[in-house]
Amino acid sequence: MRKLDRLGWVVEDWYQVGGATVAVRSTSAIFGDWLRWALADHVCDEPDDEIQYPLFSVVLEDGSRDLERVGRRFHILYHGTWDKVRTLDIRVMGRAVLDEFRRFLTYDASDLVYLPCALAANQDVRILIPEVLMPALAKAGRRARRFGLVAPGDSFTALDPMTGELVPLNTGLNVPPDAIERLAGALPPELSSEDPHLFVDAPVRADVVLADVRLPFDAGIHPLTRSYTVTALASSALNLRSTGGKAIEAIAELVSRAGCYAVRWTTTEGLLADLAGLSPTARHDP
Amino acid sequence: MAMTKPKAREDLTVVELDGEAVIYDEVGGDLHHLNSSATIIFALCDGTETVKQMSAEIADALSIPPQEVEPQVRTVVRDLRSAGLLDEERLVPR
Repeated sequence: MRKLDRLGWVVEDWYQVGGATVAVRSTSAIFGDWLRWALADHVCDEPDDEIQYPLFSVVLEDGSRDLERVGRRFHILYHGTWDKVRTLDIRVMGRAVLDEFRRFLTYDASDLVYLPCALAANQDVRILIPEVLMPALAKAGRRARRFGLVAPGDSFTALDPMTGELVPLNTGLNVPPDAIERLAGALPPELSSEDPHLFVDAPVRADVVLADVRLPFDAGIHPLTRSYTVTALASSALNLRSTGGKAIEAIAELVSRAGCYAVRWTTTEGLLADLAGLSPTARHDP
Repeated sequence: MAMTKPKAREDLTVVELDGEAVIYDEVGGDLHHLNSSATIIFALCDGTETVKQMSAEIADALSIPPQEVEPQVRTVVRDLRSAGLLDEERLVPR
């Protein structure tokens, strides 16, 4: 965390959402102003205690920082010290930050099943990856693109319990509908360079599901049984208690037509190559 | 002397994929993953057969001696019972 502390934060605000208290700091006063406006219903005072609350840090290259020193133009979203999203597009960053707030509203939700899994893609193959892989993909930046990969914009996804399809988040966070456009409009257009990240905007199926399992595998991609994949995903579901048995059925539906794998990686290059090698035609079900 | 006829709880969510079952117990909030053998035995736990009868049925289907099957079936049923996946069993006179 100390390494992050030197990044030149100019604003820090506190919010309450879904029973959680959250701090957000940024290198950009404009971003800070925008977030306070977008989440006006949730702004609160800094708590007067010693509890370690969730902290999001948003590095924004809005020209107010010494770019010579920084040497890169990516906007970065950190959760603690964990970089979740790196993007050249401020619209992606704005949406990713708002969706992190939406996550705090998922735990008691019973209409959709929420999983700590992110949607990435290799060409036209949609890959559901465990959230723990996000920092590796984020750090890979342009290298991931050279492998034909599109990184996730969200660190969690919603499942329709009836169909097992990935569907847009539906948490009811109160945000003005034009929030993202307002953010982009408040900053120079060059901060909104095209930089595709995946968000689920319409129902979609996952072609491949990777589960976060700690088995004694060698590095690489390993086939998993669908039932084991269901168990791994269900045990990590954000709202299993609220959705109960229908979560299990939805996850079973999700994996029923997907290739299921565990991934173990030692180098980012190896991980990127493994993800790039996944394709529907190359599926080898266990 | 009495025997029991194991019966799976009816309030469990059970999904079966490629011959393996995932079971969710909403009461305890527990998830269980059964391999293919345990899934077959769990499916036979419908309250109509004793372990001996279940073993005979499996042995017949696999063409192996019942005495080879029964200890394994008994172990799996014991595990299912300890995991709380079976109803309180009725004792039936032998």
